[in-house]
Amino acid sequence: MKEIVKTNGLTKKYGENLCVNNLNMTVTDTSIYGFLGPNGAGKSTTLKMLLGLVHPTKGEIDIFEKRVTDKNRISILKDIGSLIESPSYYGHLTAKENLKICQTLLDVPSSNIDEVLKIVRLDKQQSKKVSAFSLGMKQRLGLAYALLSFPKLLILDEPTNGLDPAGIHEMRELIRSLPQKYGMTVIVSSHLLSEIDQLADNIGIIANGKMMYQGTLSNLHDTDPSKTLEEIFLDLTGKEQSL
Amino acid sequence: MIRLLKCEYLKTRHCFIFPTAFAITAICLCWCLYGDVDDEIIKYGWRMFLYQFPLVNAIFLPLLSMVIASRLCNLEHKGKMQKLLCCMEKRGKLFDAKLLYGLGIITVCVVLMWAVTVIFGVVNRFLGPFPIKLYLLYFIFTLIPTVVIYIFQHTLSMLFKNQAIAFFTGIIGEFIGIFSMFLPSLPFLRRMVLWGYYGVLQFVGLFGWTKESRYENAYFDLMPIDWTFFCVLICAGILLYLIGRYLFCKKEV
Amino acid sequence: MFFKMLKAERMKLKRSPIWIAFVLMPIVPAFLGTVNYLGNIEILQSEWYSLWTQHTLFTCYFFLPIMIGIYCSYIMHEEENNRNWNKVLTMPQGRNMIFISKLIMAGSMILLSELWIGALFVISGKIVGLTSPVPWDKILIWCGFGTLGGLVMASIQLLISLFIKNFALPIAIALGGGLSGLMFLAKGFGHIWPYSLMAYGMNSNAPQKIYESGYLPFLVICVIYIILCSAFASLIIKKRDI
Repeated sequence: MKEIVKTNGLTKKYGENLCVNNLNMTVTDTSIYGFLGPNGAGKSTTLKMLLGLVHPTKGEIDIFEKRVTDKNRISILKDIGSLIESPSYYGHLTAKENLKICQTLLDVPSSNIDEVLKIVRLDKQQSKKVSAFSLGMKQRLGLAYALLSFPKLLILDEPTNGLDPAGIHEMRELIRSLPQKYGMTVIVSSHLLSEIDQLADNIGIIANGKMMYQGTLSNLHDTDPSKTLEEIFLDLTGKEQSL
Repeated sequence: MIRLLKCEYLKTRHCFIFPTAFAITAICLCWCLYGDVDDEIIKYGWRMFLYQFPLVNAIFLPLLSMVIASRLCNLEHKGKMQKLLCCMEKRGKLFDAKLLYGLGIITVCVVLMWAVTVIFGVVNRFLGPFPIKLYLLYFIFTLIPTVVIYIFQHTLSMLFKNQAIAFFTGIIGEFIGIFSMFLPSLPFLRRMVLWGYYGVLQFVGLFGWTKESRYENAYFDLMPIDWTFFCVLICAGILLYLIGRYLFCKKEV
Repeated sequence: MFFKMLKAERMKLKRSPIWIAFVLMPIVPAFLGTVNYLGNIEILQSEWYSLWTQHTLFTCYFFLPIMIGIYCSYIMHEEENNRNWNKVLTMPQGRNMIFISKLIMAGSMILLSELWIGALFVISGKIVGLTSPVPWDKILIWCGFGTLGGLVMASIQLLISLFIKNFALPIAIALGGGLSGLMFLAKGFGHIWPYSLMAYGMNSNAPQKIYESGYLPFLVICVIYIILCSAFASLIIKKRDI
């Protein structure tokens, strides 16, 4: 199995504060990787490091089996779509105009715009100013950006933020369909186990910057069959916090 | 690069960036050209303008740079766009594209001001032939300081989300610059700050002005041009650009 | 209740380094104005008053208006950012007071910088070696009236920033305002036009000087402007949908 993302001893320090500590992460091809952890565990920082938005203090990152350096970062990023934390947008432009800017930057056919608008179901609101969008709609727009180039790797940081139950369900179905339909690999982060367990093939659990567990969900369950997954998750993340 | 510039254009639709720039240019032109055209102006007009306008430029052009730079950069900060854009394109290129776009707007404004001034002179039949060489020099000496100041403002606005920082730094610099033009006894002062270079590169002076006779015997004449510090200014511009670009590439989003 | 609001406003400005600008800015005219004064000592003969003109000329036409513009823009922009209006307007506080407390914040900043300008003025006068006694009463009046005139400007700028959601545009308007102030002052309308009132109150230029008989009208006009702006702004804050 090809390893799409592999990090080796990834570390990020802010002053004395260790935000991500010696993280080894492996994501395999055309799978969905659930990245779990409580608030402030270092999920976003890790994902930002993968994208080159934050510079690691230590450690290496391989994406598509290529070592990421400052030189080849952009050529690698051409095949990655991302949605980090809250969505980005120009409030004074419409959804379509916003996407048009990214389409120009990414140099992909403009027919992609209509296609992704349809996928995220914003096609009816495409000519509304984004500043008038609700949080959920902005989140959909953020997903539309990420999908625009139909990338090989999709990095989604808490993509269900602000979505209504129907939206969450829809998003889950959408993410689940991506590997088969477009051959994508998806990394999706969340602080809710219930959101990931129906979705991910593999999971990584992070707490206080450390990788507590990495593997399949059933293996996690096997570590202590007497407990529910929820309890194991709480044990893993709580143990680190009390230290 | 053309692709990136097109993006900059797409971003600035519906946000009145050109009208804002032209409004400031218009205020500046009104400020310069408003008033009665008397014999004095007709007689000395061409050189009088070259004597007076550097000061007006020192007031308006840095402000124009501040407003345009902040307007263009704040778009990105407002919608948290940098984290998305930095995943799509090299940061240095993003920095350059925005800088070029802003410089384009600024250049258009400077050209406009220059052209209106010249037309004003021709329409009012200023005495003597149009000193094209002097006016071309004046154009260069107006544009270059403005470009360097714009680079500085652009860097500040790109680096700091809080636009008040860029504005306050700019306004205090401009303040020193304008003051320095009134202090001919301290020539080093205007050479020290970017904003003073409108004064450094002023090459028409007023001579023969005394307290008693006032403007009676006064006349305008050419002064030597400070080419050394013109080069210093250009070097400062290049240096500022490189530092700003480096810092932006290093910045964590 | 109102004091709580002021306290909240003050806390919002915590850790924003804006006050540094107001501290640094007056040093420029104090230093350069003094140098200029020394250079032209034979033309400028009315001692303290001449020095005062040198110190305040550009300050109150260009720089203080623009600084006030930036400050007001910043105060309003903070609410615009991250949907803070939602929070502010749902606090159990009267909406009338929102604008006024912001105006007081801006006013206290203006007062501080005026006092700082005054202090620098006295210090540089002493350094230059002016022999006549320090005109304390005049300085206080100039600074006090300058603050009042500045408050008028601040209330208009805050009102503009309330309408225009962007940061840079109100500042460009402040520039236009400052210039128009200079123009109206030269035309003799300095005592009515809101953007001239600060320069007029600070007596920065002899021909348009405020005379003792003009103190009361000056006060009345300033207060009228401030009340009008506050009332209008409060009405908008009350009626507007966020």
